[in-house]
Amino acid sequence: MGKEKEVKFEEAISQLEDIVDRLETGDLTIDSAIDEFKKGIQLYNKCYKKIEETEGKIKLILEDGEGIVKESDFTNID
Amino acid sequence: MELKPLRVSELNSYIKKVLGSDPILNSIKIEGEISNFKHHYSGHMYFTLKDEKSRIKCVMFNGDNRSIDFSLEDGMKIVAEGYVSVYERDGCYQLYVKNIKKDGVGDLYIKYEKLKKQLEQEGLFNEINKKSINKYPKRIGVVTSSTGAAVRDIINVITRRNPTVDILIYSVHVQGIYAKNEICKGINHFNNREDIDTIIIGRGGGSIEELWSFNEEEVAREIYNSKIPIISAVGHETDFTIVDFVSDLRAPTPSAAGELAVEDIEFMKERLTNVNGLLIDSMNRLIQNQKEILYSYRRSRLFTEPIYYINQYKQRLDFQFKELITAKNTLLNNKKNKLENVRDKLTGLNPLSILERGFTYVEDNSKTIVKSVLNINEGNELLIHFKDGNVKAIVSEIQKKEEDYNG
Repeated sequence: MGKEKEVKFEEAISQLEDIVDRLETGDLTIDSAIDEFKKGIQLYNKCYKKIEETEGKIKLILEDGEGIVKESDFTNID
Repeated sequence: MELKPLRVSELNSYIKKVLGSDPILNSIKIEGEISNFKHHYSGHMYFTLKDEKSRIKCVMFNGDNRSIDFSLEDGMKIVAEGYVSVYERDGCYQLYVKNIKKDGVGDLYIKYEKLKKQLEQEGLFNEINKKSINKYPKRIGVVTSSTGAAVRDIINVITRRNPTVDILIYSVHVQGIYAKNEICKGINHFNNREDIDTIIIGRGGGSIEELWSFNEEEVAREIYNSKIPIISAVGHETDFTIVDFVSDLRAPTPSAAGELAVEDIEFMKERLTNVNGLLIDSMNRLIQNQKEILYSYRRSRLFTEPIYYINQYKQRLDFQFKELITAKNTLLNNKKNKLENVRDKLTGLNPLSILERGFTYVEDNSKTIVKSVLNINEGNELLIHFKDGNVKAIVSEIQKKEEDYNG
């Protein structure tokens, strides 16, 4: 049904925004600033990949009387 | 052998028997619109019931129609209970009506209002229980018919706005006797999975009867108990069903549900680009600041003219040295002066200097200096010291000075 996507987009972009806040207040040492910046770039890349490369799947679910569930690709061309 | 032909009355009588022996026709409910209504002076009511294609003659006798609590008129939609039989004299079949109710649809509105009030009082519609919708879902579950415009609209809008989202369609009947249970099972199915962020339940437009499954109490409760947020998209903008009130968010149409369920990916891209820009800008600024601090140190005099600081110290040293010398001299002079003062004083006090001025001092036998005439007697031996020698003398006479009384 598609791989489990670990970090949600909303979480990732929020973390990114937090990092920017910390960098902008400017109280960090150069070393920790570089660390945060690296993390920020990684998060950006993750998010960007999610919205550029991932393709959503559309599936049809049919459940019968006994609760047996069948999943198949949805091909409604209506 | 030829059968003898029936007479008309025999035929009509036979038809009446045939109709009378049919159990369905003997007790039947018909819905339709009234036309050609006549309330006879005899008390009997004669009218026609019709639908779009067809009509049937009806009669409601005095005894049965007395209990009707509303007035009947042409155009009114009703449900008539009774039996079908033949009016033999005219050879026509008609509906003999025993009981009339206003159109079942009216009943449905009453049922709807009643259930809505009850569930509202129970708190099922309270805003405080409504969950917020995640604008960035990974997977959406849709409970709807797998055919028709609604599912197509939902899919189109979602994939247009965010093609990365997975959509699972749980196919159900959206009207009819199976609908209610299937819809509940759909909501249940998605709740039992771990991967669904949002549920959309909906269908296209229709009459109140067609939308009725979305007014069922079981469906409302299933929605209320759902752990996953639910967006309802039932019918057109003006259709409101119980499901619309109990869901976490109502969409006026299936397409609108798609818009409410996902953020537009262009907006997400913009947000991402902005925050990335801020990230790089703020890092650059930070580095720039540090550089400037460093450069300002490099420009400082400590680096460019360190001799200045050495000269400063030199100058101080010189000054202190001068001060030291001055202080020493001052101290020395003070001591000198003091010494001179003391020496002058001493000189002044030297008894021998008195002698230079012509004074003498007198000693007696015991070498004690005599200061008063009271300490000597006539005949004493005295030694008088002059600046240039001594004289031995004997006291011949003592003359005491007069005392003065000035206190």
